[in-house]
Amino acid sequence: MANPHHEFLKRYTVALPALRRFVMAHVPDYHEAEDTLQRTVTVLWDKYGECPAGDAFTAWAFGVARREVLHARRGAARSKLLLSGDLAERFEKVLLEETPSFDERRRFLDDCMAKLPEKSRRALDLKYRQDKSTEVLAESLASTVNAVRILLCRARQAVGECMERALRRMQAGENSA
Amino acid sequence: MNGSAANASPEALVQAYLEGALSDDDMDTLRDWLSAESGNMVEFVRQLDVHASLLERFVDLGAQPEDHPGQLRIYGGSARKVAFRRLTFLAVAASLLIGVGVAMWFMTRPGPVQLGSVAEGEVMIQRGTDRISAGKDDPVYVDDELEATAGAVVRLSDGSTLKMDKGVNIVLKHPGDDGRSDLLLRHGRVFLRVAKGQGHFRVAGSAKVSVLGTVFGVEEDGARTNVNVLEGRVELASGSGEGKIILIRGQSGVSASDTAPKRTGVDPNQALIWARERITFEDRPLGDVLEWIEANSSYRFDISGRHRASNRVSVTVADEPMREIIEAVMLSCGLDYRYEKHDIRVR
Repeated sequence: MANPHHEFLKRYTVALPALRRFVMAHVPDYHEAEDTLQRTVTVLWDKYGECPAGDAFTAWAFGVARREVLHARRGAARSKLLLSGDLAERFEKVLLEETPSFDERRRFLDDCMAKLPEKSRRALDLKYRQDKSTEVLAESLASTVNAVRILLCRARQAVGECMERALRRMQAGENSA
Repeated sequence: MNGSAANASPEALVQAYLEGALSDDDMDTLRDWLSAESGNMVEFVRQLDVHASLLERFVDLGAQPEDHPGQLRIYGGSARKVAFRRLTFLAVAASLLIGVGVAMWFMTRPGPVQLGSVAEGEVMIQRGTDRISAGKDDPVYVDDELEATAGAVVRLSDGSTLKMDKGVNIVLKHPGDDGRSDLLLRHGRVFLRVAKGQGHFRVAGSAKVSVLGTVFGVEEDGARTNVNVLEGRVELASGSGEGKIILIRGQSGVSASDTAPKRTGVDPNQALIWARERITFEDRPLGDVLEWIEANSSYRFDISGRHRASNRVSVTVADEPMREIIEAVMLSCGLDYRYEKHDIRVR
């Protein structure tokens, strides 16, 4: 009989990147998201006996995470969460489809950030490294909040595309080697 | 535009969503956009991935702030001591010149340097071979080893306060060559509220904690040092000096003598409940209560002066989580609010 600890760890490790992004999509505060993820893991382990067999672990884990997110964001209106209906299902499906490449792409993050135009790099630096609010960014960059939001979004898009290209190049190199 | 992304592009909506700053109308618009084409959801998920990667990259490794050229590097009591040293040097030099060096040394040698006094409670002080019980207004000197058998507060000469939890053992060290006053925390929990614009301190336990003007707590268990920051910045380095991170408002970290420091994600508001006094507000302006919350937590309010003055609050707080206190206060005033990390916007 398989050791349940090993089995849980194996399935959890596979699900973790998607689970982490699932929680972060719904809990804006990073530390609160981490706390929510930790609580999710505790519940997953406590109730592992209820997990369906086969490949259903991630879907089951999303269900547990959804309840923990609702608990974490009990002060927020549910209408502001992507947690129900068709949209939620599609979000979870795309998340699972995209997840396998997340960790592989991430190794190119620093290189791709370095390739950004100065203003975009500075915006990401202020937002993520220095933890500034968008309002502060707007002031620092002599811009509007709306324009800064667009700038951040486009900068992340550029970083994402760059990481994707770098990953494809690397995979192409490995295949030809 | 502040908070709401009304009439904004999908890009602005996605960003506002990740900030938790969408209005109901904006959320509907975002839903419509996500439903419109399958590629939009893919783009949303990819945005989320890069967002998550950036957070993990910078928050987990610790924010690496740019230089702080403006940071004051004077430490508690140091100006006085430097002046004392200079006087001593001049006096000894003069005494040599006039041939009465020994006599002059006796006349000018520095006495014990007072670092502050006990403000609340009682502490046991090991001073040389003497063991002294010190109460309110009794002085504390450099090299005093303080033990708090119950909670106590020491007010330092520059106006900073050092709150000690029951069981604390801490030594007020001689300033080093750089003139910094060091607090050697051997065991227990302390809470430091550094006087604004005044000196800085370095707390050494299993790790080194340099204060860059702040309100924070340190807990030492002999092997690890935990730091929780409510205001300002704290530099946390391992005891061996290898690796350091800067902790800012709302962050917590841990380090040991031979382990690189790291963030813990612990809510400092929760970790520092012990340092909070029970307090009752009776029919007081909301502004007074928010001021107390800001002084005792990492949360800061963005609220109009009208709301601060026109709402009145009656509440008793002790050791409840700060978020529960805030919720109770806001509910009692019927105010809508939302968190943006540790900033709270009230409408």
